[in-house]
Formats: sequence, C-alpha cells, structure tokens
Amino acid sequence: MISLAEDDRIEEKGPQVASGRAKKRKRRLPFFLRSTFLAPTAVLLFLLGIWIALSEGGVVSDLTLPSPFAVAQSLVDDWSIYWTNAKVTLLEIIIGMSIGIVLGVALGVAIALQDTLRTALYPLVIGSQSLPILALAPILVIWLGFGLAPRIVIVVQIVFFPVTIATIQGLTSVGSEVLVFGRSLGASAWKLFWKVRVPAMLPYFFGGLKIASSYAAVAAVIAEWTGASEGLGALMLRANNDYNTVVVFGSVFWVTMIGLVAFSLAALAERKLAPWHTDSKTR
Amino acid sequence: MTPWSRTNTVSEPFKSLTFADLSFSYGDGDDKVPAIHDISLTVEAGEFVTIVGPSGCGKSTLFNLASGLVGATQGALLVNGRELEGVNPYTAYMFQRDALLDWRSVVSNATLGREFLGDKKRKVAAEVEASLAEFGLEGFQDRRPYELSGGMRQRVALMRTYTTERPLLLLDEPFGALDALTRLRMQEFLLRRWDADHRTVIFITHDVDEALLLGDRVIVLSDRPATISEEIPLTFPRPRLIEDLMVDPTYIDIRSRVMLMLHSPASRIEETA
Repeated sequence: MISLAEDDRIEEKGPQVASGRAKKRKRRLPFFLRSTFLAPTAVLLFLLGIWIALSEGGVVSDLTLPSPFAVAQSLVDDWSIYWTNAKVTLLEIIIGMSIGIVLGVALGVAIALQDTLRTALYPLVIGSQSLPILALAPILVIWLGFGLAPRIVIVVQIVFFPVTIATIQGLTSVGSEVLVFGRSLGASAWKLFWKVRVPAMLPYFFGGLKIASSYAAVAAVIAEWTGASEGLGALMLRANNDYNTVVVFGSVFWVTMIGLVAFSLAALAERKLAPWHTDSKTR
Repeated sequence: MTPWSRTNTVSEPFKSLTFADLSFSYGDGDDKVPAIHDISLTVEAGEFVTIVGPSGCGKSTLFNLASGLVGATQGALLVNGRELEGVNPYTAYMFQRDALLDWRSVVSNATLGREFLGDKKRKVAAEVEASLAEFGLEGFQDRRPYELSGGMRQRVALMRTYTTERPLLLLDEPFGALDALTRLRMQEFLLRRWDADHRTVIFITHDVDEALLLGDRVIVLSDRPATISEEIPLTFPRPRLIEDLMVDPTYIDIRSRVMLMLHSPASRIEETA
C-alpha cells in the first residue's frame, strides 16, 4: 500500500526548480537594463523632453516655468543654500518619523490587543486625522515657540496614522488556528505575541511605513510654510515671494529626492526584515 | 515509558479522555446558543476515533472542550478518570487550514509546537530534520510554506503536531481543503504514520468515506446542538486499502447507514420548512 507521495513530490519539485532557475537568470541582468528601471526612466525622459521644449522653445516664460538647465545650474551653484535648509527639514523628518513610528506602533499594539484600550483610543485615532492641523499651526507656534517643535508635531500627526492602522491590521491578521494550537500547548500570550503576532505584523507594518515615509517630507515642508525661518519649505516660500521660480523648482527637487530616499529606506528595511513577504509576492 | 507520552507538565501517561454527560452553550441567559447537548464518550489511549457530522454542528467546539480551552456548561471532561482543570496537557491540534507561518521554513514550522512547550528551537530542529523523510519532506527543509503544494503543507502541519510528542492528537478536518486524490494519499500516509506508534487520534471530518477508512470506530453527530446519533465500531482489518473497502458489503452497509443519518428525510423536511 501507500506510495507515500513519491511521485507527487517529484512532480511538485519539477516546476519549482525551473522557476528558481528563471529567477536567477533574471537577477543576473544589471539593474539599469531591467524593465523595472528602463520603463520609468523612459517616461521621465519623455516628460523632461516636453519640459525642455516648452521652456527653451519660448512657449512659456522663464518666470512661469524655468528651464530644467537653469534649475540644474541652481542646484549646483546654490548647493550650500539648499543643503543648509535641507538639514533642517531632514531633522524634522527624522525626529517626526521616529516619534511617529513609536507612537504609531504603541497605539496599534494597544488597540489591536486590548479591548478597553481599543474602545477608548480607536475613535480618537480616527478623529485625529480629521483634525485641521495646519489651521491649528499658529496655535502650535504659540504653545511650542518658533523652533522645530511645532513642525515636528505636524509631521508626527501625519506619520503615525498609517503606521497605527498597519500595525492593527498586521497583529489581527493572525489566523485563530495557530493561536489555538499555541494556547493548547500552554504558550503564554507573550510567547504568541513574539513568535506569531509580531512576525505576522511586519509586512503590514512596512506597508504603513512606506506610506508614512512618503508623506513625511511633504508634511515637513507644509509645516514650514506655516511659519519657519529655515528649511526647504521656508526657502521655497521666500523664493516664491521673490518670483525666483528656479529656486522653487530646486527646492521641489530636493523635497522629492528626500521623499524618494525615505521611501527606498523603508522598502529596503522591508526586504531585509520581512523577506518572505516580498518573496511570496514576486514568486 | 513510550517517547510520545512526554508532556512537560505531567508524568503520568495518557490513559483515557471522557466526555461525561457534557453539554456546552455559547453566551448567557436568553442569548444562550446550545452547541453540544449531553455527549458521553470515552476515548482510550491508542484508539483512532473518527467523528462525522453535518458542517457547523459543533464538532470543533468538541475539540476546544477536549483541549480544555473552553469549559463545559454542564457535565465534565475527564482525563485519566479525573476532571480536567485548565488546559489538557496531553493534546495537540491540527487544522483544515494548515496555519503554517509564512516566515518560517519547513523545519522551523515543525519546531513551533515544541517552542511553545518551552524547548529550544535548535535542539528540536535536529530532531525534525531526522524525521523529514518520514513525512515525505526530505530536501524541502528550507522551503517556505508558500513554495509547497497543499498536500505538502498538510504534511508539514502534521509533522508539527506529531513533533509536540503529545499523546492525544485532535485532527480537525485536516484534509478537508485538499483535492480528492491528494486527500486519499494523505489518508494513507496518516494511517501508515499512525501504525508506527498508535498515538490516540480523534479525527473530525464531514467525509463519510474518510471516517470509515481511518477509524477504529465512528461517532455520528446530529445537527446543532450536537448529540451522538450513533457509534459504530469499524472492524475492518488493518492495514486498510480504500479499494478493498469499497467492495466490502459491511463497509457499503455502514456507509449508507451513516449517510442516511447525516442526511435523513426528516432533516431534509426540516431544512425546507
């Protein structure tokens, strides 16, 4: 009797080996030849082409849309001005993200795992997103002064929310079966938390973190508009008042780069710390 | 002492599990929903008992009572003749949904139960690696669950349950989500594995053929609230082959009896009413 599953195992192994090989072959291509790099680059170059045509062709005035070459020139020439201001914005982002992540995870864990805390906190967390925080910015300045603090508060308010929601989703994504399996073996809630819930949460957490990190730079810039003397947002505002659109575009470039880098760092952390998720998606 | 009677918290080997006039209801007062009504059943060590019943009849609740995760509303659950307090130290579950952890390899999934019991992962991993072949998983130790087929996933889940070394296995429709052919292979595989050490198994299914192929006896449950409609001993010689049973007149007779009990004219009328 019982051929175990000898034959079905071989059958199962076949296509896997093949797909493994296909994966490796794909990996050998240098990144700049992969379609994932070439396609967006092509779109970007196309858009840049339109921009050059519009500004250099004299269709629109320099004041409305400066030439990309002028912007590039400014990025090189005024490097130290951008960098001085970017440092302030970066500091707001780093501090705001750190507080936002810690707060977001803490709220998420509390809401996901403790019934009383869920009832108490969940409506407030949702409500916090309807708070017109920018309208409250002047009050924040009265309370916290003209330093970094009011701007950090705004970044935190934007950043913590996706992290909280992702944490809640991740912690509650665990199927009841594995929890019953564990409890019947006498596993403590603590053990189930660390061995099952936290790893299950990680892919969700990084999803939230990616959203948060792409919002963070924008949040910091807008916060600076509400009354700051330094930072990329402040620089942008000053340049705008001076009709210096070249510097406005230069600042936009910097903010975009900071947002991209923040997003990439979050995506990199995801690949390192929750590789099973990215693996299972690209399989 | 046989190796599988190791239980961490008790030194006494497993002898029997008894549902004594046991009833269970969800909720309180007016909202009370009876799930199980007055069940009496004893499972002796080394037995393979299968339970069939209509889906949603409260079969899984029976397991949560057996494992001590929920307490009886009336009656009692006895282990080795004494009323169980707290979690049953002899049981280990396996489910229809394999509930494997995606971030763990085959080996690490199999060690999970023992980690819950307080063992060091590294120590158990060596043990698991030695039994990979037995579960038809050699060469797959580093694979993740999403790289495996349904049948292999269930073998990993079964290995995880076996590795706990608990003497009483609660298998809750473990092959219910598999296609018919894979299910048959898994049933034969489970029978062979069971023959190796005769651990006590309670096996819930809604598949009558599965219940008759595997069990020493089959318990037929009624619709909600679940009561025992009938208990039928299955004396077919082991090792059993489905192709032999299919032409066995006793098997055919029992099969149609059980089918009628699960889907009686009365229950049909009730459903349409």
